[in-house]
Amino acid sequence: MSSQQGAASATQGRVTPRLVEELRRVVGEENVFVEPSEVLAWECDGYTLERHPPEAVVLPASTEEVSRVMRLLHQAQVPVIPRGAGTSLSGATVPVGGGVVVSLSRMNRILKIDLENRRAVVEAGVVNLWVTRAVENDGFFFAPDPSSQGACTIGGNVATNSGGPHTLKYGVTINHILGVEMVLADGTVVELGGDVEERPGYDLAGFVIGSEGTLGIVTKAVVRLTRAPQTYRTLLAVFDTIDAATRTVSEVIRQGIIPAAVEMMDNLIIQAVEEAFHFGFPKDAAAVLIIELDGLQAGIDELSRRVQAICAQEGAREIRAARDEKERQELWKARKRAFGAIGRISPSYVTQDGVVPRTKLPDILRIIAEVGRRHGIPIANVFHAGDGNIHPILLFDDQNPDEVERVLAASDEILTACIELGGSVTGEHGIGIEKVKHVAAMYTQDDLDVMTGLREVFDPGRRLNPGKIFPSSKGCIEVKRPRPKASA
Amino acid sequence: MTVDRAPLTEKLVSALEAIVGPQHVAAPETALPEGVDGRLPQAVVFPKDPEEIGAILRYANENRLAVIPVGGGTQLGLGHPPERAEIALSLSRLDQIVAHEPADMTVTVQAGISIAALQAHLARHGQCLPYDPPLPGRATIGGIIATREAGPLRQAFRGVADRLLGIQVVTASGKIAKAGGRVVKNVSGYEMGRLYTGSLGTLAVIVEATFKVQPSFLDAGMIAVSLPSVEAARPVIRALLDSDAQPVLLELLGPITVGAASPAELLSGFPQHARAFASFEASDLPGGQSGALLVAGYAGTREEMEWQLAEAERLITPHLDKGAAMERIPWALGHQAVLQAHRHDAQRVVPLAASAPLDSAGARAQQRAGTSPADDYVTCRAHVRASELVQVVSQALALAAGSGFALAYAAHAGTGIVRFHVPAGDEERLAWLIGSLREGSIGAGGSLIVERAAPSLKAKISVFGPLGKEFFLHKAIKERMDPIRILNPGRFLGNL
Repeated sequence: MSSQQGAASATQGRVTPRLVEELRRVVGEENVFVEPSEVLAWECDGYTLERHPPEAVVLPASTEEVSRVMRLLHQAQVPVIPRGAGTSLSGATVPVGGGVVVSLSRMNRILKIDLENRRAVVEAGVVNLWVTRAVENDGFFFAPDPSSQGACTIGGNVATNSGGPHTLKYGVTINHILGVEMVLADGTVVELGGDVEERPGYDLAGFVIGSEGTLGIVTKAVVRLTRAPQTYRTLLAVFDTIDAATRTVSEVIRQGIIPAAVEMMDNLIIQAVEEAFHFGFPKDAAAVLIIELDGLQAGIDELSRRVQAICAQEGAREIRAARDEKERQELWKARKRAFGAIGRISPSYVTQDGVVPRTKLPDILRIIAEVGRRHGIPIANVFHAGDGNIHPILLFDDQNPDEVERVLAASDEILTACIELGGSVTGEHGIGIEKVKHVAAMYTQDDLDVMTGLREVFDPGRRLNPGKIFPSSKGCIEVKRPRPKASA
Repeated sequence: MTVDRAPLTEKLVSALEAIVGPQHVAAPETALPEGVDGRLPQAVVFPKDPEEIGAILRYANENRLAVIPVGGGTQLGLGHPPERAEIALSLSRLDQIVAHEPADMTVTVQAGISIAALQAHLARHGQCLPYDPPLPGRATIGGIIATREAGPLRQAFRGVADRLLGIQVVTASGKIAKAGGRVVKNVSGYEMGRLYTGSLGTLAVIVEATFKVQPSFLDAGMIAVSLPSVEAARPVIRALLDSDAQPVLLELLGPITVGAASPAELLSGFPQHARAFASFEASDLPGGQSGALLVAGYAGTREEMEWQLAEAERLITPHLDKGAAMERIPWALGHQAVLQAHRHDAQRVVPLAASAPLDSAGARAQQRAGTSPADDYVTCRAHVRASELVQVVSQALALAAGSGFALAYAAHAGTGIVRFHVPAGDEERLAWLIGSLREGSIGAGGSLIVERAAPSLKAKISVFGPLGKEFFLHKAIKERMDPIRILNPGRFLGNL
């Protein structure tokens, strides 16, 4: 690893016993971890190909504590890795260069719910699903719904601009955040945006969303609450070819219908889900689409008939409609548990994340199949077809170094193909450490110079989540060979 | 209006001509005769592509010349008067649709295309960009991004940045830089589009943008309700927002005289009425000018629209007492009236004639009609908590009445955004009024900016209001992106 331009690394401080003592005075003895056996739990996140334990882990309980912790780490010039639930699939919270993990998990209170203005103020460690749970009886929900929504936090959603199945109609996290409270690298607390629509000046709240913890630590967010639709129609359409399924997606959109969600699962996923949960999916199907329509009772049956007609016209061999809310929930459970089901058929897997224009879905799926065959890596697909947001799941054994190599090579080829088809290397998981090298393929140096210049406005020492997003002086992080499997 | 006429610099003009060709540099007296808040640039330049813009900006940087990016010229009065204004840089030749794939629901356009031209293209494919700024024939994509002007449809479709997927700019140093992309989801790198949106051309020159588009409304209709007081609107607004029938626009306009006419007549007459109102002295006012109009628009399939209109009527009916009235009105009538209530000068034009033919019929019509003087009234825009909007308006009316001002208002009622119009006049008194209105907005959790005022009045007030303790970040961002301050110097928050 070279660091010839590494001004940041040259001055990087270490976690000294004195610093640990000071941190303990701020957050309490029991909320600082330094023993190697303890900090191992923070060595990686949902992306398990790269592990590196932090030097220490701190769990502050308030913005004030975060600020004081950040001041101490600023004085000591120690890198900081903000962390929510650690469900990142791109290694966004891996302490690649050491440093201190600041976990927001104790800041988990919903501070205010304001239904009239459709806002809630929540601490960063609040779990995504808790927000919806808190307001669903009043007919509201928090729209971003990543598959990990039962675990992932609002702070993490803000950091990676998370999506989910329902982004097709409702948008991603950035469309649902009005303001954030953020602690800067030197401990300064700032409030960006707020609870009204737009403030004079630059839209800093919007700007910091998706910045993966490189601009500050978000401690609170003002989130938008969305009115729940009057009714749903949720369809399962079964196809004998993947092409027929993807054609159906394009045709639905082309006809001006915007479903709340269009999700696709291919044969490998269908089999895994069926093995695990026995939902009754046809195990011989090449692909199924879950198409959810929502809105007013008035007209939704007509809309549902139109969608079913499109499915039939494009060659669906079977179309089922959820008859009640229980069946609807079952279908979504199947979709959201797909990742878990994979665990039963493969010792390890990497969930990739890429985006292509919706009309290029047939192309990218053919490429994925070909890449999988060539590298001898089984690849399952379960993804947000309506958004063109693919999630190929590459199955392998992480004890087998050769397979790991092939998985990495296959991932690279798939992501490169996404760029070539006019898309992006990530739709909702973020760059993290995993895709740093692909960033250079998507952007010119001039593009990146603007972004890194702004990073320095917020964090001149580049101590916040170093090694993420941008290929930098310290960015040539080698993906390490596998070590023992993650305890998770 | 008095105009500071800087001497035309031969050197500047020949340098610009060398970049874009002599036929694409115009004298400001013909191309931008009103200048920018009274400041006349030395030249107006019409580059054809980002590379030429880059060359212009590099020249400006080397020579420390201020550059004012200009789209359709509909918001040139926004912000503080620029400190300097040597070059007006028109985007009018960058007016192409770069890519549109209907099945992907994305469109990539150059910044200088007018909203009307883009909408006309999208409409041929059954799609639209769901923004409705007041002057679509002239307002450009770059302009609505730079000024964050979405229009009443933001009730359903949120702000300009919410559909912005990717953006390309030319930086102050003359480099072409992009962010985001052309797909509907993308989290690679920083959200530069958010930073440029609303930045009033102070960070970079926007040259291209990709948006997520929307299927066109299959059907749309409106209900207008006249109410005896603005306070009477609050429970109606609440009931309409709490319904399954979700309006795509919800506008509160006033004041009106209840019972003088039907809601439709009041609405179609409102722009003229409010315009007249804003030029009255308060002592001239007829009695009873305290009512309000509430306009709710619904869209969808015919079946969806009909159900929603009926549902809205059902919800409004219990509130119809003391002379209130309700009426269905055609979308086109209501929409046009609402837009004009926000901008009385919807007919006014700043011609950018030299090499910028206004190509849509609407734009030509607007240009022909452009007659009104620039500073006959003052407009402020407040952003407050939606729940406190009615109270803010009510307080503003009381404040104006108590101090002898005629005040008209138009509000996006569901999102807490309201425009106040008052007649131009004694600037000391206006400065006091603006300060008082601002206090009310800040008290309701928000802010108030002065959108339209004569430069002499702007000199006496703060256009954007208090800076806030986060101003150091805004300042540092400007310093990082435009260190020599060539882009709209002095025009933005805190005279950045």
